[in-house]
Amino acid sequence: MIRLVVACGGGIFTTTVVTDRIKEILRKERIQHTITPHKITEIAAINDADLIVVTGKTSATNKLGIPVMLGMALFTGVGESEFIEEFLRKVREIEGSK
Amino acid sequence: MNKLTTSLDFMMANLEVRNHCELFSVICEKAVEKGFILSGFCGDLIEREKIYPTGLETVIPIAIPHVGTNCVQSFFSLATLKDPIEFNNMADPDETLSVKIVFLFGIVDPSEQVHILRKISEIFQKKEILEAISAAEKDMDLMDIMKKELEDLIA
Repeated sequence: MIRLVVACGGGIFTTTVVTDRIKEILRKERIQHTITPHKITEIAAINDADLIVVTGKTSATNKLGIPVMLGMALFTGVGESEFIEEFLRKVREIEGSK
Repeated sequence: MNKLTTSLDFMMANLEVRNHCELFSVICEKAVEKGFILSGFCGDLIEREKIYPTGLETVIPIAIPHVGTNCVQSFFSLATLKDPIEFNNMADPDETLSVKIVFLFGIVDPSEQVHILRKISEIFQKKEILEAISAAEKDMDLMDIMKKELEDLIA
């Protein structure tokens, strides 16, 4: 079970779409997951996730070292296939280490 | 299924505005009149833009200002601008994008609108649609494009 966080600024449009896209990608790959929405400002303190996907560039890092990925590509479509490849590589790496 | 409300009043081709605040007031004035939003909506949009900008580096740069506060009925508006205005980039707020296409939304409850938000985000990814929007000369042309792309998802 992969525990994901999708973090964004406003928490309406982008988060909704990016979360839905990630669900679709992981379902297709038959990877079990949970997705929790958060605000970008909460990134540092998150302690119950395996991977954080943000929808805006941030200099914030997670205190526990949970990896943070910029997922705008899933919204704009620019660089999407590269993102999905990198995302799945990371997800499988996390799965393998559990 | 929940729909997004719009109408020809909210389709604006070749609008002349100097900046995003001016654009927001034009649209908000109409939305208040229709009862879609409360008067605080416009200020909320401006505040949100300052903290979390909504310019997008899509195939043709666009902006998608949106908030859910002070919104009574979910709606959207599409404006093309005679002269581009500046929006900061959502993916990198230090960057400025020059934008001629603006989709503005009031969204009461995004969880009820996942489907339509997905569908609209697909429009952002299609160069030929953005080009058609950009080239539209009349408000009605914009309405026709939106109707064709969103079919029964708008009311």
